[in-house]
Amino acid sequence: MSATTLWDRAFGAVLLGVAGLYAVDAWNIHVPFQYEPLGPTAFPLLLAAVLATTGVLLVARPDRVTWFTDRGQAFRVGAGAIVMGIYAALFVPLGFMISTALMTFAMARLFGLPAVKAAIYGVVLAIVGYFGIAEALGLNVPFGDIFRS
Amino acid sequence: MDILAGLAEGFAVALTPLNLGLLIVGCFFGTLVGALPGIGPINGVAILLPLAYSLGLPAESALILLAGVYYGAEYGGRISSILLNVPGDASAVMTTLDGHPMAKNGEAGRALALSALASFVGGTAALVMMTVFAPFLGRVAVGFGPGDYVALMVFAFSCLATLVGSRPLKTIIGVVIGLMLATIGIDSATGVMRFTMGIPNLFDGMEFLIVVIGLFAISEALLLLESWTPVASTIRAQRDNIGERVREIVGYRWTMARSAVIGFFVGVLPGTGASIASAVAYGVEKRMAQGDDAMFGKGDPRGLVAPETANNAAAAGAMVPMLTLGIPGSGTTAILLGALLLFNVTPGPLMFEQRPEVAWGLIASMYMGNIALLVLNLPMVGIFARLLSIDTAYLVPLVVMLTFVGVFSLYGATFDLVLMLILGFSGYVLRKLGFSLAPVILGLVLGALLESNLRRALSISAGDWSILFETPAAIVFWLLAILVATSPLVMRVRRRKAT
Repeated sequence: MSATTLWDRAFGAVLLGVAGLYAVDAWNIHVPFQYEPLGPTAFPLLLAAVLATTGVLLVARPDRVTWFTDRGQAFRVGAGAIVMGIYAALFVPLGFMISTALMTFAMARLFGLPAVKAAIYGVVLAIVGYFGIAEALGLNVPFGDIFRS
Repeated sequence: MDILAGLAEGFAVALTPLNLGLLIVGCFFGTLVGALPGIGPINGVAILLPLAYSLGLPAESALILLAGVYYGAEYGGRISSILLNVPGDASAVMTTLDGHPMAKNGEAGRALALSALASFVGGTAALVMMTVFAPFLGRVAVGFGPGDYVALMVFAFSCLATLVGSRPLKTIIGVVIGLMLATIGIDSATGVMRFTMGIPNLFDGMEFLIVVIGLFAISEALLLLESWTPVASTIRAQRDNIGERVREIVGYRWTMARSAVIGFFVGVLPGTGASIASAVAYGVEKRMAQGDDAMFGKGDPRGLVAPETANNAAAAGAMVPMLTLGIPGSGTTAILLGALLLFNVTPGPLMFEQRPEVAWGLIASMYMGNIALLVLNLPMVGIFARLLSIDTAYLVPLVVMLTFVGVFSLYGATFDLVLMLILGFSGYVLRKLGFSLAPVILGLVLGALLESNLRRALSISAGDWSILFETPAAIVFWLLAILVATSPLVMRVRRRKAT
């Protein structure tokens, strides 16, 4: 894909929208008692004004941005985002060890590691990680809801 | 002689076994994250911060660990710059210019040893300057009122906008996004909710750690996924005669002296950090060598020594405004500032008096850290070089796992993981669009401070905005801010006249 100014223009428009929503939200803050001249709305309104101005400037004078140069890049980024999303969803239900093993396997595969190596690394990282973090450091990591019943 | 007394107290804190151990761990980890391309000091500190917090370390110990990672990374960044021509972090870009050609000429060992020594000299010289200047600056800043602070922060933002990132407009947008994130949650002055969208997890505000880890570490993982190419690299670093290098580095003492002073003061300027310092020092050294500068860019040791001295000096310099004013000098020191706030230490002019064990303990630990880093880096450079060939396939899952553990261990909430990912994906989009993320973090850290000082100033003046321009200090900051903001424009006009 070639360089285009479309991304910057779209982002400028998004900023303009965010500034609008933010300003409306700030406007609707009601304070029962106010002892100071500015109060909780003035500063946010100032920020919204600056953001709206910069958003307009970005739409008017965008930079050229190249997003992906090939399909493989887009696939890896998309897949990586999904893998992390699933990891977050399974972290508590399946527990640290199983979810980490799965995430590590998938992530290592995306970086071109052969399946067998990725699987071994996933299991090793999950077990070493759990005992290192939960036992040695005493941090709070989920053991897994499925083992509870 | 309260400086010496303070330093003595600091060494007493830093020399306890726990702090000494954390210092060495921090320095080692810092060199490692600095050396590995893609994981810079910001990510290193961001990943370790929640772990340090959840472990319940005392404030000074946590800060010693995190600061060790921070300036350790400045040592590590040069390794991949020299061996691979890939800067390990942003401030090591200038090191590639002469460092890598030296390695290609078969002088990798010499380049690594010289740059380690230069890093040590730069870091230590800046520490001496910091020891002298920081308490002094703190005493000046005690007299600052809320109006002065507002002006100072505007100055910091204008430095940032002019000097950092691809375009001032994008830096300003980044700062505003950070400031807006800071307004989410309960307003401390009136107790009303702002911008929480009814989500209970946001009532206390955006958790700083989650924002930092999401924006930096998660977006970095996505960028590594994007830029991955199936090529294996082979790197070797040979040992070198260290005694000979020490003799050689003495010959560059004036280069190092100039670069250390430049680095320190560029680092002290709010909003500018090690990457600008190393670029300025390199430029100055090249100009000083006029007539004899044919080797610059082709492996001149001066072109290696200057940026390496300067970026380590700037790393220490950037700590000065963070500790004495509560205004960070760079993205990573903004995270360190956030870390201090998490531990209920408010950096600022009074910190040297109220929490001397933190302020002086940190400074003392940095003296020892520089020595530890030199010892780590001279004989062990081969180990770090070999670690460079670790496959990203092993590295990224480990980083992702650590970010999840770090964020989850805070409150045990899945919501925080989702928030971290949303912020991470946004951070990735911002970086793809050419935004730098340091301004966002600076805005987030300074948001509450800026708003409360603005409101306090206007309360004092009963709504009269002229209070922001009344004191001498405030006027100086406003003038400096205007000067910095208009300097690129002036330069462009001058250049046009010259041609």
